[in-house]
Amino acid sequence: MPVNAAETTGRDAASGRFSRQFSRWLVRRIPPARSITLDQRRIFIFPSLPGFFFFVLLLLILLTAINYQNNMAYAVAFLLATLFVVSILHTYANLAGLTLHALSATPAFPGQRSEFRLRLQRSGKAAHYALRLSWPQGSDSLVSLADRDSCEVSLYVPVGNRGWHNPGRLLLESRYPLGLLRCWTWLDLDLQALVYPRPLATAAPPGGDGGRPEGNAVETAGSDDFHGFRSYRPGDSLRQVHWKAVARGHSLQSKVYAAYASRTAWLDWDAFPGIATEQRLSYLCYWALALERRGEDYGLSLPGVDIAPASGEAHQGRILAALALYQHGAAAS
Amino acid sequence: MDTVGAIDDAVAEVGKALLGKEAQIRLALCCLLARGHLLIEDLPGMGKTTLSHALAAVLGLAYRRVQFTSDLLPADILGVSVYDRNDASFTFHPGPIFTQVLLADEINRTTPRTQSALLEAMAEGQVTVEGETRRLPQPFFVIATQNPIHQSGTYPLPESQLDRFLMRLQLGYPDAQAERQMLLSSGAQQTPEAVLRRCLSPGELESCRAAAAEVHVADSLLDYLQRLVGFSRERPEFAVGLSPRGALALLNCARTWAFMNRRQHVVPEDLQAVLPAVAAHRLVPSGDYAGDGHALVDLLQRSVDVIRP
Amino acid sequence: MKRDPAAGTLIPRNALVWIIISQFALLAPHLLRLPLWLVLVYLGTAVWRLLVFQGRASFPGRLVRASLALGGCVAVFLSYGNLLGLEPTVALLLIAFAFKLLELVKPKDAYVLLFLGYFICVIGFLFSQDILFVLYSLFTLVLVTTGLVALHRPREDRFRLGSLRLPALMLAQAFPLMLVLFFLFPRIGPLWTVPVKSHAAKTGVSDFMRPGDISELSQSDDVAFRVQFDGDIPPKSELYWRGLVFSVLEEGAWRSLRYNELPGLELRPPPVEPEGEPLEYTVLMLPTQQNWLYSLRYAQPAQRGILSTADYRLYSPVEIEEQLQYRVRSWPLTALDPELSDWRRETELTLPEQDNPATRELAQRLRSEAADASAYVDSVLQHFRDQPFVYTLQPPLLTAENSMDQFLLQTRRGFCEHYAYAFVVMMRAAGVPARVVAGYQGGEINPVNRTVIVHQFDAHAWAEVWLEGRGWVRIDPTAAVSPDRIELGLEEAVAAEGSFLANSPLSPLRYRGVNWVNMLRLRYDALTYRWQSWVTGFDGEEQYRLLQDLFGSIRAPVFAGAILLSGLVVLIPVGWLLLQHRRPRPLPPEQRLFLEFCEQMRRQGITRTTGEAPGSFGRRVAREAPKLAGWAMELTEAFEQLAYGGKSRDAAAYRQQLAGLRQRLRRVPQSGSER
Repeated sequence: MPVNAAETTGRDAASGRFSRQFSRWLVRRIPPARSITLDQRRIFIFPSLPGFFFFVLLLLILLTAINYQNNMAYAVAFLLATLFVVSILHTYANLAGLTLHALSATPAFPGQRSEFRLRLQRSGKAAHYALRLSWPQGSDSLVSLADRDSCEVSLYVPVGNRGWHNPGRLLLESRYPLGLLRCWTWLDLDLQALVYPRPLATAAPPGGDGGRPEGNAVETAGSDDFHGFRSYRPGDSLRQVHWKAVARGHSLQSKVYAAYASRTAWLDWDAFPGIATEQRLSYLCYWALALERRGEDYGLSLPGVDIAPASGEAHQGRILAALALYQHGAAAS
Repeated sequence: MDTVGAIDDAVAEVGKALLGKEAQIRLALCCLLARGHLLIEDLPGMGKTTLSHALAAVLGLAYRRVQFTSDLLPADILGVSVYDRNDASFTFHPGPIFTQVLLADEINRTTPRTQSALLEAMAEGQVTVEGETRRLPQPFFVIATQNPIHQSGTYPLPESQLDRFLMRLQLGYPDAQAERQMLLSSGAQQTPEAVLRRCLSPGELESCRAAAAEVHVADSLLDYLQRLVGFSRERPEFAVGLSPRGALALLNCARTWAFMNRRQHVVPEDLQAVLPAVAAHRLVPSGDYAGDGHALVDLLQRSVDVIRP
Repeated sequence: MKRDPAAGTLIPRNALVWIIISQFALLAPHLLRLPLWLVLVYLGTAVWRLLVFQGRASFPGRLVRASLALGGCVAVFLSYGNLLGLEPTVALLLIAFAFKLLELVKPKDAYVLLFLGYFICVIGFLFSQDILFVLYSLFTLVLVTTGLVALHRPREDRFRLGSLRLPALMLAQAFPLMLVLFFLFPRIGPLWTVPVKSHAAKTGVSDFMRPGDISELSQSDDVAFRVQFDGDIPPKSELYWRGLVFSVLEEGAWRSLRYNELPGLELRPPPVEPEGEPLEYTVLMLPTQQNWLYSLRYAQPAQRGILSTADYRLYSPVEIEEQLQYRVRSWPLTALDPELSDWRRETELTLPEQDNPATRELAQRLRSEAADASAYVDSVLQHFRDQPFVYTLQPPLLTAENSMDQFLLQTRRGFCEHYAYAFVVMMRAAGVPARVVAGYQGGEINPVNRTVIVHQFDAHAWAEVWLEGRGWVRIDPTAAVSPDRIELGLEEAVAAEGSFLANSPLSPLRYRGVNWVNMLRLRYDALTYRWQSWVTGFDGEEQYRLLQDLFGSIRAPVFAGAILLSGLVVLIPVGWLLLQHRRPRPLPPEQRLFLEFCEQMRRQGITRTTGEAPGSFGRRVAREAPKLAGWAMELTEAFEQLAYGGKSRDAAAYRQQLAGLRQRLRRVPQSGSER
């Protein structure tokens, strides 16, 4: 079940209903999409706090003009008032035509922050300034598209529990050019981060026969890494003979290569009988990390999921994803 | 029979010599019809030579093969002037390059000096030996092969030179059925390419080219092409994006491809069909990107939408 | 309110520089009005702030800031003596403006500072609305707005002159609408009384004349008023601009009758019959902080709000604090007061007892020699002509007692007020009703727009004598001494002396001989006249006239409609200009239709991937949903033909094909859903 961060931002109960209705309305108006271009349906605009103070200033100037019967003061009052009106257009234009593309979200462990990558692109050649992107509770980023057509933005959002983490709607806002108006939009970029189980150290090794590797010990033979010399034995391959030494008049010597057969471990669901699901997943997660660190091969066996032993970053990712999504239905998108 | 039919014929005919490789044969023909040189990159024994020989045969063009070695000199390809005692003058003995189809086998085994002599001839359609410029016969195609595994003593073509090849193809292993058929027919003494029928006259070749140039390119297709090119220049995964020459090459090949598929206009699929062969060797991944040119083409094709989003 | 995106961030260096520039630009016009220490405070704060920026100093602490603020208030009080007038208020504002720079840490502070900047720009207009100053202020507005814009461009850490572009553009876009509001916004009277300028107080001729007063005024080259005649301009020697009538001589000084000194019957001007053709003209008067207006004689105001006094002058019930434009009609030939009331006669004959005995004696001697009052006037003027009287801007000081005796018999050097004074005293001493009239005489005719420019140095005093059957007759004793003053003006009259505008060496009026300087000055003056009559002088009266010309009747809906309509006319092009480079080009219709098709398929569970070509997608649909195969392939082909096909691109065929595609799209095979 996706965790909607926007709904859990701890608003009080009274405004809760309103915010739910607002979210429903938002979904209809700005439906989720991986890439969204901003147009008038999606941009909201309202005076900012300095904007309201600007009104007070205008009133003061107007009062001065009236009381001193000063036409130039009138002119300034009107000029600033129309400047405000004109700046509505400029502020709006600063967001208009921008396209946001969702790029990726890095998986994270609970309590960590996931990196959400976005691409911001402009439609024309006009410059866009001071665009602030943020997710509720996440980090924010202030970017400008002045001399480039697009840029990538990374935002960091703390993630919740295991499964898919939905960061909620992205807030894109700007007050450029005068700061008197705030122009913003809430976008659902359909971007979710995978949250792995929280790793819990456990002494009990995974698998019935413990964390002991099933594989063999060091095995000499093969031809992977040079290991050393030994005197030639009949049957050794001629390719292994150290001919240079022979040419220098030494006796025949064979080069010995060693390959370390990888050790294989199974992370087995059934190895922790009687332990709650989340805790089991946490144990398995811990061992997946530990085995990867040791450079050993490991496989995963969950009810309905079997991953053959291997190692490496991609493999680890696969295993952790399987753990993260266990009983969460949806496959990785 | 119309010219497109003749092309289909030619594809079928080459297919007799190189079994189960119809897609590559079509691309190779497309490359030649678009007046481009072809680079085939594959392991030995995959049929590179067979392909080039068969292509020359069905087009009815004069064919020469040069095995490139590390001691090959430019003069060995271009030709040399020899003093003739009888008339007490120098006479030019043209090198193997004076042909219509030149197979430059294992081009990466020769020195950069010799490579560049060949590449120059490819670019200009003429050679200059001892201050005298001689035109090469028309049409003139170079089909070069190179071994993708850079062994010691090889000189991989620099990226700037790769650009001179319109397409780069990889043949790959034949599928099981084709291989079986090949194994069965290996008893026959005649090499298959020796009996190939000529399918296209030089006149038809020329008219194919003219017809391909007539193929319509719509604005929306150009948009798509420009988005592709722009993407390759903008994204951090690309150290080198597509050059204007690369974009032009793409368009020409797409046109020819559309023509070969009996269309009067280019559709995005045409562009996508030729994209890997035309673009992969022109794209250089940036340092931290794990993939190669093909991965980049794949990224390009997956990321840039045909319809403007 | 949400968090400010710039909150917590620092102010970009570019913005800081622009803020400091705009501060100094705003300070500049006040420099001469301000005590020197305030300018030094500005320099000090700017340097301090820059040091803070370089990390070589720190922001002042709370205590330092509080003591600075207190110190500023005390210093202003010490400099001005109070804190409530306009000038001390401005000084306090400017001090706050300077000290705010030391608090400039967050964008919030910058808003306060820049908004204060806008207000200080407005304050400048209370001192001057001169066209050059207004242009300069417009520039400072651009500067302040630049600070505001630069504040919102993050990470601009180098000063950029180009930052000026956008604010200038925005103000230019705002300008037309400002004009509409300026002319349409209803003008109402002051809501409450406000502090006025204190030391720049009363200018022009005062209601109290002592010998030497007018010659002092004549040192000034300020413009007193400008006049635009509807018809021809009368000769200069006829341009006697009456402002004040002095009927009372007290303690050696002339003053006019006070309102409470007038008996009830004498409050209104005695009715007279206008004679001859009237002169019609408009006077644009600069503020004097006085009540009287200037006009040629027998003037009647042609507009509301101006009164006529018993001595046939024009009078404003309120002090003229802003420039005032009024229309007047004058009949110069009309006889004033053909019948003189007894009270009036007595008043205009009164002289202080036992003053100037020698003068009285001279007057009586001359009167006895003359046949009638008229001849007596001539003989007095002849006396001025015959005796070695000198017209000078630098008359010697006279004693308070018997000053006229001293002037007439000893010094014989004087300016117009001496002659008028002496003349009236002699008239009254001989029993002829007479009074001193003060105002301006002559003026400079601007050939550019045919206005008469009357400067302060044109200030003049002359006399009026009541003669039986002719009423009040204007007599200018100065003309007897120095005819040049009346015919040519003050400059020529005192040319030999070289005292004309001796104290203002840079006045362009001193360079009237240099042709181009003079032409430039006159053109600028013509512009100023237009500016003052149309823009700074635009008031409720003018507005009423303008609106009636424009709309016929003035009703609220018409008014609001006009504002709204002009707003749209201005804003729509601006919006279009702004957005045309930002809007994504609209998709061609066939592509939109194809996307619709993709959307339909998505609902069926077949999603087109990014980069999947239409042809490939069509085939995939055909493969995955065989029941839709025929329809999907047909549709895809039709789309490809439309989008990429070369033939039949003529409009009619294209529309037909498009309609075909649209129809096909609507006819989804119903049984198609497989999933």
